[in-house]
This record gives sequence, structure tokens and C-alpha cells, in this order.
Amino acid sequence: MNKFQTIILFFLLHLASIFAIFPERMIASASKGHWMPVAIIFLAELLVLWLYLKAMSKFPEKTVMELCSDSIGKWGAGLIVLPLLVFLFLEVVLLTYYLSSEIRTVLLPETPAYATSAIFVAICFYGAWTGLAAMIRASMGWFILFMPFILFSLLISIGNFNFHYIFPVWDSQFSFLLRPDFYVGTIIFAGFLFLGMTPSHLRIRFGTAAALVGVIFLIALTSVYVPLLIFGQETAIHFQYPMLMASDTVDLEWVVFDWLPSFYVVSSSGLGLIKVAVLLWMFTSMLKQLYLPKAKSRWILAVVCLFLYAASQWIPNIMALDKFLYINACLCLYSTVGFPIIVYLSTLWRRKEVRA
Amino acid sequence: MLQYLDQDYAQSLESELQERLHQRADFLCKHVVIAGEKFKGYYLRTLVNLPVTLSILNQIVMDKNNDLKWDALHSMEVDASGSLNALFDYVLKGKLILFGQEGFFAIIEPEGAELSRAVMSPNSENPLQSAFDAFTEDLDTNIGLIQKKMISDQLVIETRSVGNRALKKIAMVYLKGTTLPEVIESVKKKLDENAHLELSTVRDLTRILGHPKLTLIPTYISSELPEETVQNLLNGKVVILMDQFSFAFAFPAIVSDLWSTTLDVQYPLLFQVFLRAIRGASLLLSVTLPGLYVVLNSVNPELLRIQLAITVAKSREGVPYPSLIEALLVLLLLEMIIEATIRLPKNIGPTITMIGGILLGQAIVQAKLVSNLLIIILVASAISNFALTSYMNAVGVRLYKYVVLVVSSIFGIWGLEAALVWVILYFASLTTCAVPYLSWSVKGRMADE
Repeated sequence: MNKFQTIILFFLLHLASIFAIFPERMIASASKGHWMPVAIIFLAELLVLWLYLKAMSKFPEKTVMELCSDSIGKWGAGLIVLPLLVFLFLEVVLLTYYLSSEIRTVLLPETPAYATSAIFVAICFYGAWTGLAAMIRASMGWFILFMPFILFSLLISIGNFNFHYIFPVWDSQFSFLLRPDFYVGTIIFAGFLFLGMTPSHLRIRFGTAAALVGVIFLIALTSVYVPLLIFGQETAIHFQYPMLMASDTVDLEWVVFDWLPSFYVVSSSGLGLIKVAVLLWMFTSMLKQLYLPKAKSRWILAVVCLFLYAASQWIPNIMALDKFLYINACLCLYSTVGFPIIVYLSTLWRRKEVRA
Repeated sequence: MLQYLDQDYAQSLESELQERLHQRADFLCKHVVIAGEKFKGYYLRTLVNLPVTLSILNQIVMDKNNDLKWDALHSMEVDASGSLNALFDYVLKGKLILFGQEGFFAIIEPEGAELSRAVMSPNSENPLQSAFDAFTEDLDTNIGLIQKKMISDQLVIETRSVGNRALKKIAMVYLKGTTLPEVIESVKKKLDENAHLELSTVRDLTRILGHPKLTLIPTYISSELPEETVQNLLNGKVVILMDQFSFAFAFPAIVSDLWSTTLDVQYPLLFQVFLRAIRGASLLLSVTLPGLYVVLNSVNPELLRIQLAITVAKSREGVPYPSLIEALLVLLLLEMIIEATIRLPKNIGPTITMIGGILLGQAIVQAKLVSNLLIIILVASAISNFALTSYMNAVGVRLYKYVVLVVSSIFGIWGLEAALVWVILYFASLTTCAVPYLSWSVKGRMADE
């Protein structure tokens, strides 16, 4: 049962990206055959995940931090992890800004930005304070709470589909590989990094994770194709929140609620909370282990949260967010693809060393 | 212990005992005759039934011949040392102390005075299909009730005394092999560590067990029914019984105790699932309904279909204050009605219900002080609150309702969501007796962690 909850958290963290940032980037990255970038991203994730879990399974008692500092020394690990830390912080800030502006636009147009993000950061702070084990336990409750909303907001607009928009299905030039938006989509990978920091009895095997990635792939495809099939590529590309617009096209007689996009925002912001809390926890525990071993982790967390709050207030508008997302994409590629490979190689190297 | 003491020492013991207990009005020293020999008996009159005890003693001794007659007394003796403090304790615990000639001295387990009530049906619980006997105040009776219900060699019962100024006997009961060793260890360790703390209330008990002072939900399940307690034992919980307290406390509580009682297992499986689903739904409703009212009324009215939104707005026509104040006012009134009916005598309770519910509810709506939709919402929330399994759980939920109400009046539907996310995190962070609050069961291999 215990591993089941880790699986759920893994699932929810991926969903968080699917409900924020991921679909619009995928729509923007290709002009036809949108399933190809999505499939490539998920194949890449499978590969990286395999390497990461393989590396972790060789030393089941250790977290990824200890693995790094054991094989390449404390300073080496510090250097390797530094971009990862920057990535995590940027990601957390961007997600906080993205979600609180989404909440503000859709639900609370009159509430000031500082208040909406204050409660967002406060809850993430509390989540990171309780620790990863508690969040893994809580994931079951969140799952039960949010899953109805998630499924509802994904599927309500099926009636409005125009299936002609599915064509053309093949992009022979792979043109999406050249667009930066495609690489921004890799932030969905950030959902598996926490697997390297769980206590050993909560680790999941690659087979389970792969099956899960398959399920998530299907949901990601849905999230990309729902707006596409309703509006078509030319229209959908202009939306800031395509999924949200898609659910606004629906009028369901039997629901007492009229403003259906709010379901989307509720699920998206809830998932975002979870993701930010988990990433915050990873950030502070890495910071403590590698750079500030003497500081109390709760103080570090408090300071980090203050910075997070300040930074999310400082971002001027959604254009700036875009710019930061492009910057973050490079860091993201390093930390979600490069970092697991480095971890894998370092375990190989360490094994040789142990044998010699 | 049947023993001969030094005569001088025995005399000094007697006098010191008298001196220490002379403030007790019921402390007596009487000359008694057992089997033709004279003794001085020291005891508390309110706890010892002396005539009956003496006749039993005489009966035991009478048909033995001269050499064996004092040995026969062994059957009624208590093992003890002859120190003053020990004697003092024995007198307080209701034992009879005999001093004979030539330093002869014995502590006798007497026939006690009738101070306990008989085993009766429960007062605070209403089981439907179950055994109807309930715990009484006497610890030994309660342990006996459990043992009678559960004949097993795995049942472990440990008694110990806690407290400094006033001793309190408690019993720790668990099933070996079913209860997790970690749980047993953690309870035992805390009981050993904090044995010096005073124990007179249930809160003292949780303090001794080292549970946090401020919790939203109780860390234990209390029950008056031996049947329920046995089910708790089978579910892997540690049960603690306090002397002179007619409830058993099962540790630790986990999240499923909010919507499941152990007596559910007496029903067919489908019924059990149905009942638990209802309670789960009522948990969610009782927390969110008042908050949802404020959200849909004043913060995010655009969520509702326009016809419904107009109906909601119409019902509030003429109400002079914001919906948060309105909800808080009526909630306060509702809480007071609930609180008032709990301790009133049974023949006044219905009157309050009638005045509060029917007259006031009707009048307050007609006077346009609150909207009638709010009355419906709040009554629904109160009813769903009492559908939860125990009163203790319900109070925590009742409290958290206010947090949800205030947060959602500021942040609308997003505040409601944030409050729910927070409470799940809070539950996840709780760990009592080495068991996380969000576990599937306490039994066997731990659900998580």
C-alpha cells in the first residue's frame, strides 16, 4: 500500500504540469502532428527515468544527494547540483506566478495579487514544512479530492470536438525540434526527480513507473488535443489558457454551475500547490545537505519562501513569464535529462571503484 | 504477609499509622477476635465491610486444627513489606491490617463495601445490533468484561499505577501478534517515562502518552462498549482503561475512524459500505457547506447558473449585513442550541429544540434578519456533522468549519480549496503512537510509513 501513495504523488505531479504550461507549449511547438512532440517527450522521460531509477536501485539506502557526494566528492556534487537548484527555484517561482495569475484572472478579479499568492505560498510552505513523507501520505487525500474535478474538466468538452482538426497527423520535418516551446514542455519531467529523495521503502520500480508514464501520456495527449479539436491550431495557439477556453465552450444543462472553467482552475491550482510544495521541499533539503549543513532546515525553508513570495510579486507580467520560461528550459533540460545521466554514470563509476 | 515483627517496632508502626491517618474520619481501629485470639484491626470504614470479613475469616480458621489455622489465612493475605509507607498505602487502598499479640501482623484482603454499580446498558451510545453491556467504573470489572468477550491466549493485560499525589490504576490491553510492536513500544515507553505525572482526566492521559496539546481531532477513540473495544483490539489498537472511568480508550486513532465505527462489521457488507459512504459524504459536507454558501453568495456568484444565482440573491433580499456575518451569527446560535441540549435533563431538552428550531428559525427568517437558504444550509451542515461516528470527532470538524468559512469568504472558491488542501496536509503530518494518521489500518504491516 505504501508504494501506492508514492505512485499517486508521481501521477499528481505530472498532472500538475499537464494542467499548467504543458498543453499550450505543445500546441505552440508544432503546426501539425501534435502527438509527435508529446510522444517524443514521454519517450525521453521513459529513458531518463530508467537511468535514474536504475542508479537509485543500486544503492537503495541512499538518496540521490548522498550518491553524488559519495562518488564525486562534496564539491563536485555541489557543482553538479547547482543548476538543478537554480532550476527548481525558478520553476517554483514561475509556477507560483502562473497559477496565482490564473486564479486572479478567472476566479478573483478583485482580490489583489499579493493576497492570492500569499495564501498560495503559505500553503506550499506548510506542505514543505511537513516533509516529503507526509506529502506522499497526503497525496491519496488530494487524489480523492481533485480527481473528479480533473476528469470532469478534461472531458466535458468532448461534445464540441471537430475531428477534422486532427489532420495532418505527420510532420516529416520534425520542425518542433527547433522551437523553444518544445523544450519548455520538458518541465513535465520535474515530476520524477523526487523519486531520488524518498526513503528506500517508498521507492517504486521502473515497471510501475513506466506503466504510469503511459497513463500520463494519454492524459497529456488529451490535454493537448482537447483545445486543438475544438478551436483548431490557428486559434488555439493564441490562447494563454487553451484548456480553460475549451471548457468555456460547454453548456451543460444538468450542472448547477454555469462557469465551468472554474473547475479547471480549481484542479489546476490544487495540483500546482502540490507540485510547488514538493519542489520546495526538494530545494530546501538539497540546499541544506550540500551547502548549509549546519542551518536548521525550517529556517532555510522560511527564508526560501520569503524569496519565493518576493520573486513572484516581482515578475511584472505574463510576457516576462514567457522569457523566464525560455531561460528555465535550458536549466530544465540539464536537471531532468543531464542530471539523471550524471547520477547514473557516477554510480557506474563508483561500482567500478568499489570492485577495484 | 503473615509475619512476626519486633514488638517495639510493631507498636511504633501502629502509633505512626494512627497519627498519619487521624484526619480521616472513616479511619478506625477496632479490637476483633478471630479464632479465639485478640487482634487490633486498622481499616477505612467506608471501604471495608468488617462484619462480613470477620465472619469469613472465622469460617476459614474454624475447621482447621490449631497448627494450621494461621496458615489457612494465607488465602486472604496480601504480599507486602512491613514498612510504614506500604501500610499507609494499603489502608488507603481498602485493606484490613491486623496487629496481634507478640508482634504478630497481617494484611488482609477484606470484603469490600458496595461502592460500584452493576454492569448496565450504555448511557452515551446506542448500538443497534450488538452486545448491550457497558463498562462500569471498576477497573477489574472492565477488564473482566473484555476477557469474557475475548477468550484468547494472545490477550495481554498490563496494569500499572500512575501519579504522584494521587495514585491511579490503569490497564493497558492489547493483542499480541495483531498490534504492531512499534505501537506497543511507544505507548509503553511513554507510560514509563511519564509515570510520575498526575492522571485524573482524559487530557492527562493524552499528555502522559505525549500527544500534542492542540489537535483538531482526538488522538484516541473512546468507547463505553466492551464489544466495540474488542473490535478495536482486533483492529490492532492498544486499549487503555482507567480506574473509576467507564470508558475505554483505544490508541491511536486513524483517519478512517472519522467515518467508520467498529460496530459496522455487525451488518452485511453492502450495508456497511453504504453507511460509511454516507458518513464520508457528510464529513465533506459539514466542512464545506457554510463556506460554499458564502462563496456562492458574495464572492463567486458567477459560478452558479443564472436562474439559481437569482434565487439565491432573492432569498437574501433585505438582509442588512454581508453573508459572512449572517452565517456567523446563525452558526453561533446553532452551536449554542447544540451545547444547551447536551446537558439539560431529558425532559427539558425537547423544549429547547422546539423554541430554538421551530420558533426562532421561523421568526428570524420572517424578520429578514437572515436568508432562509442559509437556515437550510446550516441545518444541513449540523445534521451532517452529527452523522459522524463520535461526538469527539464531530467537535473537531465543527471547529474547522469556521476556518473554511472565514478563508472562503476572503478568497472565494480558491480559499475553500486551499483550506481543504491544508487540512489534508495537516492530517498527513500527524503521527500518534508511531502510526501516521493517514493510514488504512493499524493492523499488521503498516499501511504506509
